[in-house]
Amino acid sequence: MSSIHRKFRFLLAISLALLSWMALAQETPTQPPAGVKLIEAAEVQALQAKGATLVDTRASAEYAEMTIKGAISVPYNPEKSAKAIGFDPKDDKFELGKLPNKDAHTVLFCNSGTCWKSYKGAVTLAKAGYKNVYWYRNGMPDWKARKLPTD
Amino acid sequence: MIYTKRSPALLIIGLLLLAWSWLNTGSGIDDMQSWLQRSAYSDHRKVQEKYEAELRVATELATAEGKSAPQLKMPASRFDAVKAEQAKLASIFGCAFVAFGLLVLLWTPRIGNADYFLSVVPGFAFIFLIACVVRWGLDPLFANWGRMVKESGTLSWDFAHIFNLNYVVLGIVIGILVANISKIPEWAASGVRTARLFLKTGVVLLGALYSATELAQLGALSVVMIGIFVLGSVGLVLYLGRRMQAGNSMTGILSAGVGVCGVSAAVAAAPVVHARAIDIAYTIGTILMWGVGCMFIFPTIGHMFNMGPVQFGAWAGTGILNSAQVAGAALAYDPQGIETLKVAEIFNITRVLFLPIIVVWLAAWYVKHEEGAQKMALGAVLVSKFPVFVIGFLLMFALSSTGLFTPAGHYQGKYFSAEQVKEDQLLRPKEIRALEGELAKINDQAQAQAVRDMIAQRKITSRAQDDVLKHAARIKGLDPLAKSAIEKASKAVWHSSKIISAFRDWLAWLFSIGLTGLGMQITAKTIKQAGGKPLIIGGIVGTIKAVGSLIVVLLFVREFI
Repeated sequence: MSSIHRKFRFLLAISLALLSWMALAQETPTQPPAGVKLIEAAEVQALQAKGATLVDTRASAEYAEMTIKGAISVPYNPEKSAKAIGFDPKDDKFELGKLPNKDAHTVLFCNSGTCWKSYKGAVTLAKAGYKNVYWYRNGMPDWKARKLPTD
Repeated sequence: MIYTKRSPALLIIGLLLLAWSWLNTGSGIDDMQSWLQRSAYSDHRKVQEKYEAELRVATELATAEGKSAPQLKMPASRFDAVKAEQAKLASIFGCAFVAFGLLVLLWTPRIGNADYFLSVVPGFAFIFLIACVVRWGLDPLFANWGRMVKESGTLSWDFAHIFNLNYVVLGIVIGILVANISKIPEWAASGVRTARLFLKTGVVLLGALYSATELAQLGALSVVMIGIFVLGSVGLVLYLGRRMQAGNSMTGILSAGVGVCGVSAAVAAAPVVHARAIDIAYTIGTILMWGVGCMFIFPTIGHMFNMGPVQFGAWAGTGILNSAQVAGAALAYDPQGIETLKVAEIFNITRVLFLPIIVVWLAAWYVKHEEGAQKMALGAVLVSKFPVFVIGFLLMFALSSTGLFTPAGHYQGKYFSAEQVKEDQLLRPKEIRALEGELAKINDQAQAQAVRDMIAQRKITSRAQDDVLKHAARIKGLDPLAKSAIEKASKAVWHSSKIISAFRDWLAWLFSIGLTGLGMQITAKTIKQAGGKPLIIGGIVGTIKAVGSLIVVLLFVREFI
């Protein structure tokens, strides 16, 4: 029987090793970062009507697939930082050059929940001194579910 | 003699599998599974986010109208499918093992077939359980580790991929570990010996992954060059092996491994030449050590001779023994361009396609040399001793070449078809605008024409066009939207055959079960018996092949195929 015991111990060790290596993707906070306003679809439409820039922070392939009508593509890519509030953006890239000036109204979105790109982009903008940054946390899935105009 | 050993082990294995099946029907182990099944889980997240958004919006609308919240059902994702598949397999085998496990405990066997068949089940269950751990646990685990180490920048290459740490190698290694750390339990001994049967069945299925028409599409140079080097190195190993008396089985399997395409060829040839577990392990060890060494040395030498992409691709595709390291070396030599990789892959594919020929050659060679002492007529020996499963392999190969499973031009189940591009995969107006805006940046006439054709058809229509566009997608400074449009269009015309995918899945099971069982037959004693001969032979032939192909490439290969 001792061989069976050893086998079980072996399996146990493997499962423990598995568990220790696991890190599940964390959801974005439901509160916006400092200097950023959290908004819903209706507010996105209102802002867009007033001339705000809508920024799709997802990969260009996702933007190509389907995006909010009138949105521009500024991918938060590469996204190497941790998916957490205290992320360190030093190896990330987000091209501010494609955005309008710091006083303009800017709405950032990506996919909802586990997509951190729009959150991180919003933090980057707020830190760079942009004054009117909006975060559409529910993002693309919400927009599609509401059957709002896409491109 | 009574083979069946009374032991609760089979029952326990059955219960373990049922427990795994039960865990997978719920969400209790989703944390672990989501980490192991990364890509399926990311699909799951998308499906879930879509569902949550739809539910939220529907609830909002209903509340506004004063109705009660609607009931929506979340559609199944790929992740759910993976879990359901594991649950199904584990429950089928779990139930069977529990039933047989009770039989082993309660029935007193008499000498005969029933006893022998029953005695095989516990050992099979033992190997099957390990194969499950390898396929569902270790294989994805190592793939994740390899990717993580590469992404973190610690290594510039994926160690799990380069060292072939997939179910093939992991199965053998786990088998060796189990046999040497804790000895094969007595109740399993009878079943473990049947491992070879699974390997043979696997080889039959393997035939479906090749097709003769694919070989016909390859460039003449690669066929001639590969033909000479593959057949030459197989012949050389067979000659050296006999001279050094390394044993017919060891020599046979080593020749397939060194000559054709590394690990998978070695596995395919194993049952053909009745290779022992230790022969397989030695061959794979030799191939991997040699291949990994080459991966680092080849690019350096390539730069020394200032080789062009076609030259280096041809050399790497011929001289390096194993597919994973061919791609590794080509990428290491030329990380930006795809030209080198493409040429190396053409040569690599050509070499892989020689496998059917080598399998037949080895089958005949082995029969001849094992029976040769009796001075029988070669033809008669071949007819009576030719392995039946090799005929199965050839039959599958022939069926695959006729296009029964998938269009005959496929390579391992992937084929080109513009007709089958789905409506929602056509280029969108936004992408067409982006492509039109970039036309000015494309200087090459052929590439510009290919892009214009693609815009007109809203999809890619020929393989030649697909090749040209692959280059266009790599133009520096190209708009990311235009680039992703090309990549998407290219992905949309390549389809994978459902039948071949199912074959591959079965193949993976058969090979991991077979190799785990064979790994259990490797002990310190067998390693000593085999000695260092295979390493020497493999080293000599590998060096000759690498140097020989270098000379040929430098002399005859220019920048064009």
